[in-house]
Amino acid sequence: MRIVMCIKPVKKELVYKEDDYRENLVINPYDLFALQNIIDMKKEGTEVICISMGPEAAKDTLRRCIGLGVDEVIHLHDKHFAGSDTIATSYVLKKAIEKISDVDLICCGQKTVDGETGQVSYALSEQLKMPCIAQVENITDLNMENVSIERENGECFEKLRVKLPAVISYRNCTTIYKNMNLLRLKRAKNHKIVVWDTNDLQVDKSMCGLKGSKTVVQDVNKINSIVKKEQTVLDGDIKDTASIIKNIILGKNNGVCTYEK
Amino acid sequence: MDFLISKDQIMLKNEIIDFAKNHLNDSKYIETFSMEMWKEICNLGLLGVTISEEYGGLGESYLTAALMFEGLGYACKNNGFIFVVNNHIWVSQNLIYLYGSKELKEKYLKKMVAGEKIGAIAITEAEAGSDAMSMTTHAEDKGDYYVLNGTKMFISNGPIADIFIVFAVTSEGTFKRYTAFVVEKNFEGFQVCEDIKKMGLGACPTSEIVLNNCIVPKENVLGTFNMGANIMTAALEWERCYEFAPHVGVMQRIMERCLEHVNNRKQFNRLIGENQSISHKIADMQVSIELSRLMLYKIAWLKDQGKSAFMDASIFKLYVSENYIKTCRDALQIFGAYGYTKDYEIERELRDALACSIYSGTNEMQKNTIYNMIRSRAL
Repeated sequence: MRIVMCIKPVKKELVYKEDDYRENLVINPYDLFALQNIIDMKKEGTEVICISMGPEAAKDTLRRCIGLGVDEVIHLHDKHFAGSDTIATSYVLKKAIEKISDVDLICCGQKTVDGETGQVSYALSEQLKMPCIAQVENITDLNMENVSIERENGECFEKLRVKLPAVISYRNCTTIYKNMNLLRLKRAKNHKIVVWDTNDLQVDKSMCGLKGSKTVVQDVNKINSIVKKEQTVLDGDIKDTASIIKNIILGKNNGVCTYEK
Repeated sequence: MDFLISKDQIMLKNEIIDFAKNHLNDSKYIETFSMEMWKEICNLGLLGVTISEEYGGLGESYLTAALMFEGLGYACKNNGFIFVVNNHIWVSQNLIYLYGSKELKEKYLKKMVAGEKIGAIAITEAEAGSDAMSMTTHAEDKGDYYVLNGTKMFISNGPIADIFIVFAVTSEGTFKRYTAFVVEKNFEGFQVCEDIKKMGLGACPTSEIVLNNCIVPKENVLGTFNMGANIMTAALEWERCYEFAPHVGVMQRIMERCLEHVNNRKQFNRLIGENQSISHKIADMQVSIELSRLMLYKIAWLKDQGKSAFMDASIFKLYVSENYIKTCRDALQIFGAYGYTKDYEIERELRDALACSIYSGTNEMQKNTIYNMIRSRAL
């Protein structure tokens, strides 16, 4: 059985608050959650391959996947892939999955913490002509014919058995590396990573990268920036405290707590 | 000395920090050993940090190991659990790796690196603590095997260990000689007593062990017969370096916690960190951390060069333990009444820390060692 896991490297700042020394790119937390569930369910004879389209630094992210227990990693790297939107990305991923061949299950995180579009898994299933099951919580059983999953669907919790091949996307995210093994990670350092470019994949260059993208990002603006407000501990007498709380509720003093009456 | 820290070494340290934060801080196991946590750390592959890949280890340098254990102390609040891990690695498994015959390595090492067998060391006796060489446990040669008799006291990991490095007298007379034996808990005549309740380090079970006509096969002699004193000295050197390496990380964690507190808590309408009596305590903590860290890296570098670090390890042990305790006491003072409560866990940190001026040779004994070594150099 062969499983392909699509991995998106994202900027570390989007996942970690601290730590100056970590690699610049880390695994998208949604993909990490999916990957760990797949590795938990991996049986003897099952091959898990991670593919990732991205810059040179994505190799470090793929090596980490080996540390987590995947069998092989493939880096999709070519200047023509740069600037791909979800349609162009899913096209390149599809070509890679076709080249891998005999793939039974394709797994994705529901979305990435940078783009937040959540469209690639649907686009990929459309391109591959496979069913897509989204909002997956976890796999409960996996065999050559079917995958049994649990997922949320609105207010319901569903248990589904899906005929393979299929594309699934996980709804959850976590940054915990629960399956990391240091020896595997060490060996991954010397692991020669397979790189596929436009020639290897025999892609139509007009369908990938900026050329193949239907959306154009015109500008990026940071919204909802966090404003640190002054804080006051309400440890005065009850009358003062009640007055302060009233002012806060009424929006007086610009929401800043003070002891002034 | 040249201990430039590489990107890969930092990555491994961060890996440990990530792992420990997420897997080793379950508060329900803070006072009791957790086999669940032990299995987690086995799966991570940390136990064989400096052991060659042939036996399933990582084959990393001692400097890398120092960084990783500093990271472990920083991120894992369970000091007792770290003590279990250290006892297993540095004074049990590591001794078999360095002094064991090929047969002994084949028999025990892979299982210990995988964490299937837990290790411990047994030197101390009821009447032989700092004066370890006055031990009375002795081994008698019976041809194909040895018979060990005696009682060992305060054996860390005792109730959970499978494999013990036991030291016994093997030659009486003007010059007593000792031999180290690898003893399995299932050997005939070997008995582990109940867990001894301690002031701190609750997650590290400790017990007495009794050797009552304990039969040990000849091939289980560690190193050379009658040369156990050398192994004991080496064990203490490893212990004084690597069992104290996590304390550097713990001090860093406590310092950061204090810093956050003093920059948030206001008294008399100003942050308490603005008082010199408080800020100087934090400065003292930072001085201790920096100096301890430099000494740790120096020892690790010496070990990577294959050199002795016996006196350095004593200096490190003495300095770290005194400053680790001081850091905890200062933290308790900074947190005031909150620090004295169970909820804030500063009191537990202090209880855990207090043991380190005793184990691995009391601080008074370290000063003897340091003085004797500089005197022997001068003569």
